[in-house]
Formats: sequence, structure tokens, C-alpha cells
Amino acid sequence: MEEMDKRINKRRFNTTYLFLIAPLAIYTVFFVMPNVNSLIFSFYKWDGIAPAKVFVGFDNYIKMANDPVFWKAILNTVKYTVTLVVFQTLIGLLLAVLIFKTSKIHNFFRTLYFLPSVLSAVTVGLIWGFIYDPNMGALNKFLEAIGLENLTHSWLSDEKIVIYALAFVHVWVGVGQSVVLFVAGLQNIPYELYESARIDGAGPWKQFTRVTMPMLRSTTLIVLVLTTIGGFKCFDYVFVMTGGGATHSSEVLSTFLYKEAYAYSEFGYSAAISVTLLIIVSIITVVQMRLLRKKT
Amino acid sequence: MKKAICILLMLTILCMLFVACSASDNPEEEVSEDEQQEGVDSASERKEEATGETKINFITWRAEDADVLKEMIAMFEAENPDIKVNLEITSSDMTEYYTILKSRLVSNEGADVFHCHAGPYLDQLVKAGYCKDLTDTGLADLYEPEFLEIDVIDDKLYGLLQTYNSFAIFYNLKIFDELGLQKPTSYADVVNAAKVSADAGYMPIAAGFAEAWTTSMLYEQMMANYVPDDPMVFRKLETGEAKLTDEPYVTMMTDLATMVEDGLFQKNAMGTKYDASLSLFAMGEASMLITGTWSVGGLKEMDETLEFGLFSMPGVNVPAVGIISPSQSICVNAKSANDEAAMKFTEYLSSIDAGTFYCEQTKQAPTVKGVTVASPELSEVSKLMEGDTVMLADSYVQDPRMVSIMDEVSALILGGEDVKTSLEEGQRQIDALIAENQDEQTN
Repeated sequence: MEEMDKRINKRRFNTTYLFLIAPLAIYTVFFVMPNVNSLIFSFYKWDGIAPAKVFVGFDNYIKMANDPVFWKAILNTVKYTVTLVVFQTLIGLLLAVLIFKTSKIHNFFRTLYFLPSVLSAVTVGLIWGFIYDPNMGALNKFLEAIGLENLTHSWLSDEKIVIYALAFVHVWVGVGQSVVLFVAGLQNIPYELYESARIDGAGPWKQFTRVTMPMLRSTTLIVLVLTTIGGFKCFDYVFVMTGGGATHSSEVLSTFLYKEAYAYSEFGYSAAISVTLLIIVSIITVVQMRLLRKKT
Repeated sequence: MKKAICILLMLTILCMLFVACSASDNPEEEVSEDEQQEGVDSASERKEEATGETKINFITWRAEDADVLKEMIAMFEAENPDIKVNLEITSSDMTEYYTILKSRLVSNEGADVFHCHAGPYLDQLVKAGYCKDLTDTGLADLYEPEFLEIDVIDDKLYGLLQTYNSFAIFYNLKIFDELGLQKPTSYADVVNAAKVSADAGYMPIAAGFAEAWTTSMLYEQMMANYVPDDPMVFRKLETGEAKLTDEPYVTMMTDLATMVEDGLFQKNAMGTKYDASLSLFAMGEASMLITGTWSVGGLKEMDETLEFGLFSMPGVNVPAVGIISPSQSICVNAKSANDEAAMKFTEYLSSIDAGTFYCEQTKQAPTVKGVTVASPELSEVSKLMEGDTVMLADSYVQDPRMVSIMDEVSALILGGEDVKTSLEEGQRQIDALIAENQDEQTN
């Protein structure tokens, strides 16, 4: 009998490996190899079309360290990510708590908040490009209509606010996903905990801070990890609405590396930037995941 | 044992995938051009045997000309039933267009004839060996000689300029009549027209400076006004022969600051996208518009009843000259497996019939000898060329970064930054670019 169990387990083990081949092959071809190629290209000077590639060692990385646009892109990416993480998490949590009940109207709101997530990035970029238009845009027209002309802006060209205006669009799109995650987290909190808290005399705020928040810690960390990665990888909304301009005021790492590769044919330099971006995102993700493990 | 076999099998498959996908990426193992050509030839022969006709691909970014090009291709195919031309319009965004074009050229997939801009883009494709030398093909004889020079690299002709454009300020005839304004002929006239328009509640010159390239329409026009006899004026910056902080660059950039101070452009011009500026003009919100003659057809499509005139923007202290801005050049893939058919199609595009049809339909100025177009809109364009004209200077610049630096410096100035500081920052970037290019040449 024991021998039979062993055989069955062995067969299961082998079958598991066989099933793993396909996803591992796909992962290797579409993730590992492009990244390995990027790493290799980052040591070359190559225009992306000429057959000749010139080995330049760490020159691309040295150039990057001395490039003021790279540092501006880093700063903008950090501003964008912090704005995204803070607002998407807080607004997502707030909305999730408000709609956490199962009724038709709550389901309607859940769908409503999630709706922007299903729109394509280009569509979102175009819609918000029109809304932000300084002459004909809905936002400035609305501010004028309610007598707040002094708050009207050239939202996508004022270098002090453009990066936050772009991050807000990302928040608008992503907040629905946070709501879904938080609602799922709220559904897993045992009702008995709230009952006990009420018996102990806890009001709604105390129930939220002493029961809901601690029980949502792992969900919150998942939301934080996802939004942080999303923030650092941001490309589409920025590219569609400003292209990184004007004069690099909304340049983020992804638009910077795209331009270097495709506008200036600096594929080696662009690869060096992408490798750096990969390292930054990996470090932040590992740190956040460790925090997640510790706290849970 | 079985576990070991499974792991071995997985590793083998992964190694095979890795090797298969990475072989061509090894810089030491480049496939020779002859080998690539052989591969394409055999593939093409198979295709021709199967269908009995030669198929060629024509790639362009000009979506606005799609219907016209399709009609021209139909006419060509009627004359040449053994050749089938597949028109592929990729993207009107130039970065995306050249990304797609390059990938097609490198992979030898479907780019027999293509459109390209003279200047850095053409230079790069020629250096990589993808543009056929058209010098001794007889095609040059079909074009007006002054339009050929722009596509000559190292004394060889690699492209055929199909049409040309010019930068201009468009003015709304209806609004100008209403306000009692005449076509401006001097800078003072433009300032007056802007002021009268603003007082009447119209935006003055609609400008889409949110897209940096649009600033080039202004600074290149200014530069042509100040140094009409020096088409290499931007190239000199790139080679280090001149500095941005010298004359005439300082005067030219100071003019841009003066224009902003004089209120020539609408409020928020720096935040307005190019397409939005066209809409502002077409909707009658702005009395003037800064754009190029390529917009004539598009504006008419937005509003058939829109009537406008054109003038070249004068400098603050100098009159305007006409600018010839090269549009698309026709190039033939040097590695095309269907060279004969590609050349036949190029000859057709260079004919008087095709040239006339194309320019008449797209409202663009002709470069082919013997083509005359009797369109009222084009006669407005040709009026811009009645005085002195200059071939656009930035087409002679070799590095696209140089154009970007000029765009950024002018955007800073138009955005209200100090002229001196902006020019010094621009020169610092140009110095870095020159040093980098010199390093590359040394290595």
C-alpha cells in the first residue's frame, strides 16, 4: 500500500514538472530573455538598425549618471509614484468601506468605480487630454463657471503641477482595482470581531482603527506593492498626454528610455536605463514583500 | 530517475528556445547581407511562383493622403497588371513610424518603397545600407534640380522629394474683414492684428506649443528671415563652428520672447496641443494660426466654408522670406527582393500624371518637372514663394538631438524663461552632444 502511494506521488510529481514546462518556457522567452538581452545591449553602442554594435563597457551607465534628464525623470517618477500610492490607497480604502454592503446600489457603485480600469490607456489619455485642455477643456470651463477663474491652469504644461495632474489620471483609473481588493479584504474579516468590539464599547472610528485596519494589513500591503510597481512603470498616460514634455517637466523613466531608443536611436543607452528601472522596481518590490511577510 | 529525466527534458527545451531566439542577437554572429538577400530572394520567388504576380509594399505615415494614394496605386496596377502594390500606412507619429519602418527593413519584411524625411532619418538609413542609390537611374531627370540636393549624401542621390511645404501664419478672412484688418506685411501689422483680435474677443495666433516640434515653425522662420543666405546655420551649431550664445541666434531667440511679450499667441499656448490649435482656428475662436501649408487640406476638411489667407511670419526688425520645408522623400529599399517592380512604381510616382494628381488632391506643392496645379489653395501657397525663399535649414542637421535641443530652448523662451539663461543651457547641451559625437568618432 505504502509502495503504491509512493508511486502515485512520484507520478504526480513528474506530471507537475511536465505541466510546468509550458509556462516556464513562455516566461523564459517573454520575460527572462528580453531582460537578458537588455542587459547585454546596455554594454553596447547601437542605433537599432546598423548591423555593427560597438562594445562600450559601462559607458552607457556613466552617461546616465551624468545626464540631468535622467535625474529629472527619476524625481518625476518618484513624485508620480508617491502621489499614486497615497491617493489610490486612501481613496480606494475609503470607497471600499463606504460601499461594503451587499445591495444592488452598492454593486452598482463597485462597477462604477471599476469602469475606468477597463478603458484602454490611449482612450483614457485622450479623454483627460481634452478635459485638461487649457482653452476648451472641461476642467477650466467648470472652474470658470463656478467663479473660480483664478484656479484655472494650463494643467499639462505648468511644470509645477503637470506630474500630479498625470498621476491623478492614473489614480482615477486604478482606484477601482483598489476598491475591489479592499472589499475582498473586508469580506474576510469575521463579523464576531466587530460584535466583541461593540460589546467592549468601541464606536465606529475605534472599530475601524482597531479591527478593520489591522485585519486589512495584508490587503493594504498588496495594494501598496501593486500601485508602487504601477507608478514606477508608468508610461501610457504620460506618453499620450504630454510625451514627457514640456522641456522634460513630465519626463518619467519609461518615456525617457522610449525616446532614447526610438527618437534618438540610442538603443544601448535606453537598455541601460531599462536595466536600472528593473533594478529599482525589483528592490522596492522585495522590500515591500518582506514587510508584507513580517507583518502577516 | 524519472524526476531527473523530467528536469533534463525541461532544461533541454529551455536551452533550445534560448538558442533559437538569441542567435541573431549575438553581435559577433551577424548574418551577412548576401545571406539575408538570398533568404529574401528565395521567399519572394516562392511567392511569385504561387501567385503569378510581384507584390511590393509601400510604407508611409501619410494617413491624410490614404484615399489619394489608393487611387494612384489603382491607376498604376491597371497599367502594370503583373505588379500588386500593398499600401501600408503605419503611424502619423514620426517616432513610431520610423520604429516600424526600421523593424521592417531590418527583418526584410515588406518595405520595398517607403517615405522618409531628408536629414537625420535618411542619413541613418543610408548608413545602414537600406536606401538604394538612385543617382544613375534617370529618375533625377524627372525632378526640378533644386529639390534634389536635400536627398544627396556623399554625392549620391538616395531619395526623391515628392512635395514641399512652407511654414505660414493662416488668417481667417471672415474675421479679418469683420475687424477691418488687412493681410499683415510687417511685424507691426501682426502685432496690430493680434491686438485688434484680442480686443474683439478673438484669440490672436493659435499656437500648439505643447508639442515641442511646433516651436520649430517659428524659430526656423525667424532664422531664415535673418540669414536667408545661410541654410547651414543650424548645422554650424552641431559642428561647433558657431555657438547658440552668438549672433544671429541671440537676435532670433530674442524675437520669440518679444512676440510673447507683444501678446501674439493665445493664453496657454504652451499647454495647447497642435491639433487643438487647428480646431481653435477652424472653429473661428482664433483669428490666426501658426502651422504649415500641409494643413490646408485638413482645415478645409474641418470646415468647407472656412476661408483663409497665408503670410510668412516676419521678424521683429526684418521682413519675411518664404521657406521651403521638404515633405516626404520617396526611397527604394536597397535590399528589396522586388527591385524591378519597386523601381517601376517609383518611376510612376515620379511621372507628371501621378505628380499632378497627387499635388492637386493633397494641396501640396510639386517638385516633379512639368507639374502645374491650378488649385486656389495652392496658389495661396505659391504666393509665399514669390519673394526670397530658403530651403529649410534643420534638414541639414545630422543628429536628431540637435533639433530637440533647439525645440526645447525655444519652448523655454516661449514659456517665459530668460533668453540668456535658456541659450546658455542650450549651448551646454550642444557642447555635451558634440563631445559625445567626437568620442564616438574617435572610438
